[in-house]
Amino acid sequence: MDSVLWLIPVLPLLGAAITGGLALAGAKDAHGPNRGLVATIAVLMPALSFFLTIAASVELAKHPDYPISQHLWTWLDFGSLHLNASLLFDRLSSLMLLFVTGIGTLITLYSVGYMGEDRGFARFMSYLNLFLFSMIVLVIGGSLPMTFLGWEGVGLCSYLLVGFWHRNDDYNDAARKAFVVNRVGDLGFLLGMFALLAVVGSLDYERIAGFFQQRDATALAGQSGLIAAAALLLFFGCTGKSAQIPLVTWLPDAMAGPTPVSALIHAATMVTAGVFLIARLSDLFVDATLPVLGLNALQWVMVVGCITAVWGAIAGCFQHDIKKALAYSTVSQLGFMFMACGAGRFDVALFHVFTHAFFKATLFLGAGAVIHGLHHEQDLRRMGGLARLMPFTGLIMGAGWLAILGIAPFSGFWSKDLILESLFASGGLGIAIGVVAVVTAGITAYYMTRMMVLAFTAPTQVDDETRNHIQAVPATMAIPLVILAVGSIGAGLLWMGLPAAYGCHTDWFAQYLAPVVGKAQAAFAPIPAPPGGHEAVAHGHADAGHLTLAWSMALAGTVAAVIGAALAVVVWSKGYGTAKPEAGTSTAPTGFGGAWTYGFDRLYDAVVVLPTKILGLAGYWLVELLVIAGLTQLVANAARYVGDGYAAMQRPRLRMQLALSIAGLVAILIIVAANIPKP
Amino acid sequence: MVIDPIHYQGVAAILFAIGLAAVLSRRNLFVALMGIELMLNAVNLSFLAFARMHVGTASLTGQIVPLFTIAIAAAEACVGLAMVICIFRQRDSVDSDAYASMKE
Repeated sequence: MDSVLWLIPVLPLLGAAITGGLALAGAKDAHGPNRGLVATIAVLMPALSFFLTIAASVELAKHPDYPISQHLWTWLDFGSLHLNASLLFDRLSSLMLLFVTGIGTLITLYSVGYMGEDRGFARFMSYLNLFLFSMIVLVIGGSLPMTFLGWEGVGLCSYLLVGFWHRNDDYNDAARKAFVVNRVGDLGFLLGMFALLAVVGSLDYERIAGFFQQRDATALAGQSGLIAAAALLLFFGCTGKSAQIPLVTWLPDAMAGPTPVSALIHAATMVTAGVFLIARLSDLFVDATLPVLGLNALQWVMVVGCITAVWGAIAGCFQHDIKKALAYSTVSQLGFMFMACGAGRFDVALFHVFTHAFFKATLFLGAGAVIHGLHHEQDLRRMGGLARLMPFTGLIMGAGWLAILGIAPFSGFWSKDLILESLFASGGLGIAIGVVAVVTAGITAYYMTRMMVLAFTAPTQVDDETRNHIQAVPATMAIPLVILAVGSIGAGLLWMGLPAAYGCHTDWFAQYLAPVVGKAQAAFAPIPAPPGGHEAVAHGHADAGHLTLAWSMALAGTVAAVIGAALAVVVWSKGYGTAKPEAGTSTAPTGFGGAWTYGFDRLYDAVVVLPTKILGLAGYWLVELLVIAGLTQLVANAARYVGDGYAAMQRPRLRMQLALSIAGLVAILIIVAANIPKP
Repeated sequence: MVIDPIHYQGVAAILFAIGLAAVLSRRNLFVALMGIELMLNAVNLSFLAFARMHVGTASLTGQIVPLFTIAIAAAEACVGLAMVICIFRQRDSVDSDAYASMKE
């Protein structure tokens, strides 16, 4: 198995190359390249990767403590820095890869239906495959630079796909914004890597984990400043990719891309890369204990996650665009994941990544089906009453909606309650954050229910023309929708419930990840159990405190969700009423935030853009006008005077002129030859 | 077939020639800039191939110089593209022959 590991990323790359080639070859053709061929290749390649991943995971299950790794080639051999291009397939990569390739395949299939009519279909499929390649490299890379390679790759594909409809200038602005904001985060990633290299002397994941797992107090204390810097800088990188405060504003604008892109890249996979990175470097984050401005690295992660979750949830309440409402919801849910990381429960954070991938993909693809059905209408103010017009889509989105609300037994219930639990169990700051998180769960229920009510049950605002021409959902879109909806109902059972029926431990998910993040979590909470009500219940020797915590969190989360949802139903069941949008207005992203990111965009303007402009202006006056223009003038004048003088020496007769020139050349050669040092 | 140092140099030379040909023959300024990038990267490849012939610290120079080249190439591309855009706004063309006003 270890010899074919490289095929997992290479297959989608191959798919990207072939479909890209077909797109180029068919560019001149009036109909574009053969859609059937393009679709087959584009779906087949990720599907093959998915099956290979399953095979590798089965192989891994036989000896969980020995990850499969493959050394490809020596990348850098640079003095003391030796870096291999290598792949690492352990429990963490296996989990991430399973849903990246699995959901990736489903969404590619969905795109066949959604984008089938588009002129750039082959180009779209090529980008999508390229994205999957990059994402797989990000996850499977055996060292930080390999991950960085994928990290940049997904950033590039995000740019290409957000700006896919590049005839719209607003969309281009949105794409550029996504790219530039991500670059700011990437600077943090790079500097973090340098700091980590200075501490560990290697960027290989296994060496980094080995270094920190020794927990050698004196060695760590000596370098605590560098370690804290590395953790915080890498986290800054994560805030860029995962759209956390302060680098949050690009994600709502990224909704300019086609809906499958929003589902795959900007909800299920790429934006969770930050959580993945923190889990991958969990040992570093746990050991970065030096307080910076009063908080250590993990506390920073928790606080930033909390603020972002609240902000995203509140912003979500004010969106008119169905996709932007979902985008803010993603921002908010990512905040929940970071909170779990901050509480030292990396497995819980990844569990939420996992369930969120299902239910948010369901919601986005459902929204895509709505948009598709209404002929590219995504303004909630022009929807309403869709439950009767598209009952299938309504059911599917209903499953995703119940999951994100956290109603038992839908997947979101398990992961969200585990997050609340781990926050309260971590004590101190965690309890304060936990209270905010419960409130945020209520707000989440409010804005999601508002969206559902406005789209599906409120009095209809759809005009008759559209109502009579609702586009049906083709099979290529329906199949992924059904599978993902089943996932958003059932994915939570991986932690609890279903596996128990087969004699597994009910904390199967946590045990699956234990070889990777277990040591870090044990070091974070050395005395007995990490906050784990569910596992404790399962083993039948639950300590009363944990049991109470588990039940009270389940109750608190559910009550918050029900209150929020009920409030939304009361407020919005009548729909917008008379507040109709002006004709011809659009809620599509413009590249300058949506409502509620204006504050951040103004902040960027004041802190970054304005000083840069001032610097540029200063450069223009001082360097350009004074130095460069002055010097150029000087040189030009000198050349002119010399030229005028030389013109006097010109002979009007050509042969005479040539002879003089050659004589001059000979003279120069003689002088040079005479001055060559003797050996 | 064994890949000898001379093969790397051959590839580098060919890349350089292609880049040079693009700069000299194509009138589209963007293609010309791409040609310049290709030439720079051909030189990088040549450096790295020479670096491979040495072991340990002796190879460092050959590996570091391309890093500088890459940084400078990035700056060059930035300034170059900005200039092309500025000129495009004045002349409404990216054809290098349309800029032929230096003579007068």
